[in-house]
Amino acid sequence: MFAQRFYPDDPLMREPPPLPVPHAHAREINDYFDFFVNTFEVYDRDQIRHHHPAPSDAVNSLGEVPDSAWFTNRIGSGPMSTDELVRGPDAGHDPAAGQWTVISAKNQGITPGLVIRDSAGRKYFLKFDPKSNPEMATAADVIGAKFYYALGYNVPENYIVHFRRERLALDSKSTFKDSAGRKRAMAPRDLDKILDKVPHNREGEYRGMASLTVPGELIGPFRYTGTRSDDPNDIVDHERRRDLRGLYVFCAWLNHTDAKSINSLDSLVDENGLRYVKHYLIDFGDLMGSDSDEPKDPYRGHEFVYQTGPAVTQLLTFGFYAPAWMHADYPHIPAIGNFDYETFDPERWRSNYQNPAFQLRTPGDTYWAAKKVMAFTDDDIRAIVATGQYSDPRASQWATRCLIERRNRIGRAFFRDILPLDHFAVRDGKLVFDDLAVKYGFEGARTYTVQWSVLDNFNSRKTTIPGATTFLVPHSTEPYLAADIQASDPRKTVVVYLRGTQVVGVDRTW
Amino acid sequence: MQPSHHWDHLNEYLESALLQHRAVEWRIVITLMAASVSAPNQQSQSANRLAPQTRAGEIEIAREQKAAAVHPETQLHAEQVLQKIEDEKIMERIFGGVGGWRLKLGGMIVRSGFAAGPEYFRRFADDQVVFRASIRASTRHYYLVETGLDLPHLAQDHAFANFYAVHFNYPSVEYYGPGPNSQKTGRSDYLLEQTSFQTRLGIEPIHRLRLGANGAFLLVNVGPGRDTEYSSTERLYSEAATPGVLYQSNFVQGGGFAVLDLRDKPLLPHRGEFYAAQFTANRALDGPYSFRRLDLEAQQYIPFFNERRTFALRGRIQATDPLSGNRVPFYMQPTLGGDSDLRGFRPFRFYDNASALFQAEYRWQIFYGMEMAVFADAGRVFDRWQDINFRQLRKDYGLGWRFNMSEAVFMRIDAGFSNEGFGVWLKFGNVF
Repeated sequence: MFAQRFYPDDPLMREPPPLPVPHAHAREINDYFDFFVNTFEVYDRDQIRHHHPAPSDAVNSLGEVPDSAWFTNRIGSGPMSTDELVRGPDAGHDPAAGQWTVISAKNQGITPGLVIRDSAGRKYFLKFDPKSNPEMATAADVIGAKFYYALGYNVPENYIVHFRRERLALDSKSTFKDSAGRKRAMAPRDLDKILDKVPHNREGEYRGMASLTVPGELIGPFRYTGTRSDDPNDIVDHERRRDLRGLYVFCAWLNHTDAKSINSLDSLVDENGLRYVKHYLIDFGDLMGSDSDEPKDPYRGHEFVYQTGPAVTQLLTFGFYAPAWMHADYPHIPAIGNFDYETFDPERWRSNYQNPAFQLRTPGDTYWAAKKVMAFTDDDIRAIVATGQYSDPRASQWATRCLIERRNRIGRAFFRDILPLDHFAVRDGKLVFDDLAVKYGFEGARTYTVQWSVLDNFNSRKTTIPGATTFLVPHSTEPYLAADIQASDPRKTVVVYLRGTQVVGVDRTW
Repeated sequence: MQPSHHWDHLNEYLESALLQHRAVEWRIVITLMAASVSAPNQQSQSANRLAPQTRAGEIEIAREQKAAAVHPETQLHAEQVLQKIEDEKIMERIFGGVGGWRLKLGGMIVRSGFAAGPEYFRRFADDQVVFRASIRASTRHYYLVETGLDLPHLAQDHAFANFYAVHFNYPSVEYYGPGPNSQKTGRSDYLLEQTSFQTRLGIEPIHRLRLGANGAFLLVNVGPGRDTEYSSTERLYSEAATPGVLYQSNFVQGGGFAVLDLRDKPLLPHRGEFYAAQFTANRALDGPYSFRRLDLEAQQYIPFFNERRTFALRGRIQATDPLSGNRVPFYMQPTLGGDSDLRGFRPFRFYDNASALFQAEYRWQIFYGMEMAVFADAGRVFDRWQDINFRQLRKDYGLGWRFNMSEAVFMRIDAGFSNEGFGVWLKFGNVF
């Protein structure tokens, strides 16, 4: 090991500017392949089985995720106003007034979709709700974009739109894929048939979700393992990235069960004079109680599509064993679908099928993510839910209540796995911090022990300073000091590193 | 217990990168190593000279190393194959939905063996017209050719029409003699060959309620069974006991039907009801075989545990009533026994002029793509429909596995047990 324990620029809050990427080839990820590989050929099976995943990467010396092409610190790293939360990724690019030109359409599946261009020349994917559940998927898509943006991810601009049939016009080159799978020129009757499948109000007005095309040259989804071989800036295996491992917690909170590769997107963007690959999360129509084209099946979020253990249990018990989710009592609100908090267990939540980054999460990852979830106040959540524009007040009330209750369960669960001390600083010669479990009321006030040491930055060796067992920073001529902090559980420690009075590092054990 | 690490992966990457770098400057390294014997601190200092001095520099070096080796993203061969299957819509072609040629499985009489063949399927006029034609053969040399034209969306989905023609040749259909007391040892077989032209016209005045009329012309040929293990039916049973075994007729059919389908998913129901009634007048063109027939069916699905469990109930009455001086030909009589009614009995175990059937299943989900069921069947055939009652029913029970795709049972395996033995059925599609 030739590297220093700490560099002068630690803690790094932003990755250095990316290397230019002049070109990268678009490639697809096959959904079935992704399912089979992740279901039956589990990545790093031994790590998962023995519960010893490799340490997380793409974190700075504080354990935080620095800003990068993947992630931008927003909520939890600084204050976010309600206006900022509600605005989310939106940059005022909602579809412009005037006619929308339909470029292409799909009529396969239960909920069809259109690709449109507005009068300003911007391109959108226009998605709809199932007839049985008006507002359900469109609200989920918009709400999801706001939450994920606030949490730090790159997401598209999603807008609720209302329009009448007359607003849509066909381009002379519009294409259409009919139910037989044939691609052909699109006719007005094709558009009428698509709109026949989606709900509209008595005035003949349709509600849709217009998702602005992600900027740049689209080069396909990212995988949750390995790195992109054509992106020189992609140097950390994705299954080890804290921002992807911690995504588990966000997906659990929002019940985003369809978090998989094909619901991500890489784009070659030109920003600040640089061309590089930026990584997006897309498609949030299956958030909360929605499964896009129908209410979420109650098992989703609780079991994988296929999971040997529960399947064998059901087989052997003839179905007499009924796990808690089978007793979930959902409100009969069409715009919500099947969403609850009573049966939500953050540590046992499941995406539709295994996701390697989720499977390899560590308590450090879930703690990092839980901090961000807990940073949303009740009012923040209420404000973001309101962007879904539910016409039934019961829907917004229920979604808000579930998200608040699920947030609290997340904090309670993931602040228990480690010693959740944070916000370290030196004030008046004393090391101060917050115990987040105490701050949020999950634990009563508790006492801590501390032992100071001197750190040799070149060999990471610590030398105990005798008698330095209070939170007062001991006087020392050495550049680096370390404070080992414990509460009642000796397995859960936090080591805080100081360079002078600057907190430069935090290590946690569990 | 595990400490968190910061950019350790990068450190590993960087070490590798530095070693490569030092391969170029190998002479310097050897000099450093030699010097380290006398001056240990010099090694780390020299290494530090080569290593980055900032965290950002560490990342940049790792990026530069990767930049020297970038190459286009590729898919594994298995993924390419699956992608092709998806792009070419091969699964859809096999299991329906896409126009053109596709594979058609099953759809023949029970005991025909595994049946498969090509089907041409095409929608026309914005899905207003659906055409299909297929030919199938089974492992036991049963054959079927059929073609149909559906107009499912007439009058803005308030009317429908269907035209259908089929020819099949089943060389060995089981027959055990008439009535509920026929003996298992009385097994025989006969050939059933039939060509029919059918039409069905109807309206859907309200959603899920269908009313209509149907008509058909049937050309029937009954002959000696081809299974050498059993006697042919005409050798064991007389025309008096088994009407139509020696003389056969063609038929003209006409009737009406009503269907109320309130199931949530018709091909994979977990809640709702289904009611159907069909009346058919059968006029024999040759011989005293004219009769009327009434089929009644009710299904009820009672879910619990968020629809992971379902009690599925079914009742069915089939009644024929010969016209004065006529009898119902045995090959058009109601039957019981087989894959979808009395599953613990042989196929077509019981023939007679009327039948009553009651089935109950407790279904539970194993996982998203599979359900299991325990079931009980009870039923009986009767000489006259006026005699239908619930006494002396033949009963069986069993266990089933159902494999689901999308919103339908794709395949099921049912094992039924009765006082006459057991039956194991592998079928494509649900039982009810």
